[in-house]
Amino acid sequence: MKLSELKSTWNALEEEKAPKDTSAILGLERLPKTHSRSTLAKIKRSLLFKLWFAGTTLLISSTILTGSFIRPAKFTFFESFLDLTDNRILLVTMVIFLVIILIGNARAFKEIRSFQTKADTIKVSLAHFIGIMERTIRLNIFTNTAFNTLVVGWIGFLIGQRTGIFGEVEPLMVPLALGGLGALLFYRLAQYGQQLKFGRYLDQLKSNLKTLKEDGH
Amino acid sequence: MDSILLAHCNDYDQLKYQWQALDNKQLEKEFYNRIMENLGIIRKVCRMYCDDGEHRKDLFQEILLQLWKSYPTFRGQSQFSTLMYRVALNVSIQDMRKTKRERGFFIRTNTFKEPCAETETDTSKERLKTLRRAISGLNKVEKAIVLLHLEEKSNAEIAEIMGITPNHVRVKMNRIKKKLTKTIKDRYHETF
Repeated sequence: MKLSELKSTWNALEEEKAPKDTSAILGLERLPKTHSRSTLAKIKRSLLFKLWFAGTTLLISSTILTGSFIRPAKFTFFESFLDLTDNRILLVTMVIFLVIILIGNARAFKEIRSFQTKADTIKVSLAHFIGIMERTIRLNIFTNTAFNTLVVGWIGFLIGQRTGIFGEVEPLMVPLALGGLGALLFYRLAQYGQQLKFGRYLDQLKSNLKTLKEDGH
Repeated sequence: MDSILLAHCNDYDQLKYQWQALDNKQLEKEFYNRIMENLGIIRKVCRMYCDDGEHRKDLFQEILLQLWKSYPTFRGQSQFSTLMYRVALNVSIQDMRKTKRERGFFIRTNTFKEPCAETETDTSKERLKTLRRAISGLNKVEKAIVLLHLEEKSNAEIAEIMGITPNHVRVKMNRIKKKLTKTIKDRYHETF
């Protein structure tokens, strides 16, 4: 069998198998309301959820933080462990973290939305897509690491205050030390998780792009 | 049409909304007509990238959806078929779902051949198996180039879709041809 025969086989296959489609069978009318099941669409939905969650938490945190300045007595919580200053430090840390998360996720979301409406060449689109994937992976690693580090740091601080197991150690040193150790551990874990989830897929995409870039073009 | 709309719309926003709705309907109609005219392109791309029916159906739907999303940016500078090829191939290349081969379930096509019982159907079946086998040995980008070549697109047209130079297309195509010829030869030796 020669290559030219492959071509005729291909054409014959298409003529033979082509069904008589109608727009109704294809569901074209429902198309504007259909949800995509592509990788990017899934990432976009997850970003949207994070945006919603971070936005709501930011609103609550900012309200409490503002309240702690207007009516300190009403807006202080964990009174047994945290005084007013601790409360404010916790809230400011949360607000800063949430703002960074919101900006990062909003940018990624906007970029994916704009990418989905483009019809670039395969090479441009693939390079852009890989860029988006890499930035999203970095954002996920940062979010997971920062969030878990914050939680561990504050839990350590609260345990230290409640049980006194850290003895005479400066109270702020506990969350800092635990946070530092946690950051290293969570960074590795987040990296591993993202590698497991997208690593092979990303490698395949890069290899496809490399095929297009070979020979110095 | 203006007077009808103005009669029903009291403020500018409402009027704008009505116009957008009209535009969308117009756009949908135009889009459907173009899709129906060029449906073969999506079908061929799906056939090139998917072994199983369900995956093919999903990919088909995904391509249609992405075409719908990118259609408003189509300004007519190039042919609609070029946009279709670009979108369809991009969706297929970026598709995360693994093929049977990638999942490790790839079963070598049956090499048994009944002696002296060759009919025209047997020959075409055999050719089809060879074609599938040969194509399955290519990566996603190579599949895209082969598909466009099988569709008798010129090197310049392939270059416009792929985003590389026509010279690079020629080089790539030569390599792919060598790869395909080797697969076909191997298959020939296995069969006979």
